[in-house]
Amino acid sequence: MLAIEVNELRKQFKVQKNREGLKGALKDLFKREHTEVTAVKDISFQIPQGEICGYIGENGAGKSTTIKMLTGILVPTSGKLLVNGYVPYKDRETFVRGIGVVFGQRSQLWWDIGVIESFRLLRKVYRVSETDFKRRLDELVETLHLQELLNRPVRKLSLGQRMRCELVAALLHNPSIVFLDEPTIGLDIVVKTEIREFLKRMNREHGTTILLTTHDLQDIEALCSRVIMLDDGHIIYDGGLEELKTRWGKGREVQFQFNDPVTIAAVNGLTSGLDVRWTLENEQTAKVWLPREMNVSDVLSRVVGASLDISDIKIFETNTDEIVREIYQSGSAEAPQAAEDAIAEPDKAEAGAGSRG
Amino acid sequence: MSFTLSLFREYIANYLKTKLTYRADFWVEVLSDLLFSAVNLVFIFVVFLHTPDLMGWTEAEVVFVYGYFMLAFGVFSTFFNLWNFSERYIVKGEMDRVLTRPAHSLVQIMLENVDPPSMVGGLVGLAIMGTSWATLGLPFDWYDPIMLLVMVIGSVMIYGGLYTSLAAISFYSDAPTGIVPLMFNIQNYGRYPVQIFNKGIRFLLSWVLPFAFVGVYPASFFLDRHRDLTMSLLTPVVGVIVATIGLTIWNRGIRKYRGAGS
Amino acid sequence: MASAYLELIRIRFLMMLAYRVNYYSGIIIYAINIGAYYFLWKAIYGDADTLQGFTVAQITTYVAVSWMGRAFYFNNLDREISNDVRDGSLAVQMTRPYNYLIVKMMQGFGEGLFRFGLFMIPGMLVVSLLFPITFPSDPVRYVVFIVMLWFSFLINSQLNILTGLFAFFVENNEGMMRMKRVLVDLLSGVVLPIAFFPSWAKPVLDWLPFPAITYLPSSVFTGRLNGADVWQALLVQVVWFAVLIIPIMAMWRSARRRLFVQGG
Repeated sequence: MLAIEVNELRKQFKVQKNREGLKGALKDLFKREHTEVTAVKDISFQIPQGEICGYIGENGAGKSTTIKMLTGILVPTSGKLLVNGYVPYKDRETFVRGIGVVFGQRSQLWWDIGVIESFRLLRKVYRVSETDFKRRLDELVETLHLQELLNRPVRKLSLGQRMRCELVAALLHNPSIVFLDEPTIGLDIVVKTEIREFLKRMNREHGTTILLTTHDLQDIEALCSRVIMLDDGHIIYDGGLEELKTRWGKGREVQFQFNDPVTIAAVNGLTSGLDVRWTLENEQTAKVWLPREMNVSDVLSRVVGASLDISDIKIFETNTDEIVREIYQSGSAEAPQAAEDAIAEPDKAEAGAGSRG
Repeated sequence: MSFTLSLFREYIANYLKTKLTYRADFWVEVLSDLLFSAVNLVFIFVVFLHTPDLMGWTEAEVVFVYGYFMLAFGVFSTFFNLWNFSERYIVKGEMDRVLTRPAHSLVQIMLENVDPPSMVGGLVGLAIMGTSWATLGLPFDWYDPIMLLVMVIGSVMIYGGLYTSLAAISFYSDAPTGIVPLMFNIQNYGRYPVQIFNKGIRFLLSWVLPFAFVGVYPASFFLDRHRDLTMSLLTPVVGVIVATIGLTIWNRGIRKYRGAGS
Repeated sequence: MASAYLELIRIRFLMMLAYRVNYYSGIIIYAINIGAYYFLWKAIYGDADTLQGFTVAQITTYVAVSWMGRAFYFNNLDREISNDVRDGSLAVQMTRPYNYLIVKMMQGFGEGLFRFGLFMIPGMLVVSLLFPITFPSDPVRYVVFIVMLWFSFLINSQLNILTGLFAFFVENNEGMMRMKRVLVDLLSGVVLPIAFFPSWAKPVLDWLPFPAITYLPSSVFTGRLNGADVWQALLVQVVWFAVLIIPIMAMWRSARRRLFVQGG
């Protein structure tokens, strides 16, 4: 069965136009002007039960809008939408009992009192029976190591602790689909890893379907078997992560740390005849790029076999980060372009990673 | 309904736990509520320094009406603490969270903001009614407590409906915050005998913004000398109508919010 | 620097314009307020021609001009400041090259100007058509009134700043802000001219800044004060303005120390 089914989904907003200056503002007082903005442009996709799917895109690409439609907060302008067998915006109250939602930047917990009180309240709101609640809470508390935190007021929790509690709050009623909007934003690497492990485990043990938006592509690499990539309201890629890597991966890089200074001519000489490209990082460090179809060992044997002393070797796989950056650059996942362009201009994706969607 | 009631108990419990951490706040809030009422009472007292009556209404009678208002207002503010709705739920976006929960949005928001200190003002109002009752030597009939309950519920529904509609304006417009304090001023006039106003304002206070049903009309039921049976008995009816309108506007607002998005 | 402050006034003015629901409802509600008070006072007067030296015409004018004056000087600086303190944005503001308190004042003034131009003047015209209001004939009186209104704004904003800054020292100043609001409305003479207060209360109020906010300028406008009394009223306002600077400076200074030492 499909957990999420989206067909030709579209969302349009009316955005108020503010005319400039005092005169414009006075005019606005009597007559407003609006412009139509289409945030989501006829997208279609299906997510089967038990899948972890990453939903990525730059700020303003339409991610949050889609999530809001999928969770029943917003009503679509047109298109078909079926989540968990429900049309989200129609039977909102029944529908939301089967889903869990975490907005990474908004708390759903009571600020001033112990976390456990918020959980108890949510138990009532979601009409979870006392026994189910206890079992579920014990399980969650144990996996997320929250024992000591339960009686602490939320305002005294660190961001990482709070986020783990937010997860519990969203999962107490054992939803079959979970929507996570930026679940790891602002967290340190330890907590991020912990949360990823937890999500994986939940998916494995309960078969929970997870749809998450994120700017942190490591979330995607760690969790998702599938990514949907959004740009300007359109889906520009929908498929497996591995497939994305093979299609877009631009080969590998190997970095050598030599004991003595080297020149670019010298290292070029080592691999003459091979279709590779050397760059010098500093006097003693050189990097070589090799195309995907070439074996790393071909290069390694040549370099190591030479008379130079090597103190260290590192192999870099093109990471998802770069791939995604590049896809945005070209605006579509159809026709790959030269990798250099993407690496030369990294600001775009990084600017996106810093703030939220 | 029983689901809502059980939620209510849970939310109150959480409120109390919150407040126990800030005990001083509770009393400061009670105090400022009472001061607000005191200022209005001072106005009444000072006015009656200069005149023996307001179109036939004595000081004790006007104070009685004020007591009724305080009672209804206290109950109302306990449950409809929607003053910063726009700021908290629309601007800061908490509405999205509310909409992912399986309970009616208005119920959730009312419960999240439940404000028991306001009840103290209501109790003081009840006490004021009691003293004025004695001062005026009003007869006490067996049905009076029941009628008072019915009237107060009606009045609370009127306020609830009106302020719910006002809060729901935030779904349509950008910044409605300015309206509520202004409305606060207008509601004051429901506490004075409507006879003193001209036709226009009387009409306004009876049928447009029916604040007179949260003051002088229902209170007149107990003041035999001024009893306006029709108008006082209309209180619960108007209450149901206004509450229905308020809820309808709210639900439409929600639909609009979900249609427009952000 | 001055041009930056002017820009702040302009921006706030534009911001007010953007909220048109507020604007329309505001005019209507102010008119209803004045109307309701007019009838209330008529009922209080009953058959009497004058009370405490006010004729019915004078009290009507007083009520109208006081409410309209309130539209000008009223602002929410207390709430804005205490929000800034609590969410920590005040610390950020401190890093900017301007005086935070003056910035707040200017924003309040932008708001006041908006209400003065688009609220008070049209409102006054509407009200004067509906109710018997007598306007002073002497142009000097208008000028003095405007000057006094400016001081009303200053004094009221100073009180707001003081209340707002309390957020530094107490955990929750919500109650205090509410109390201040009702006290200002009662004791400044908006709902009740000071002349109507019981005789024991009047000398007490002479030592409080509140009457300087509404009662004095409105008394000048209605012609209750004449000749030298007018200038004395203005002087009282100036003195209060000057006096209130002292506690603000003191609080601001210790607030800043708190901010720097304890990090907010």
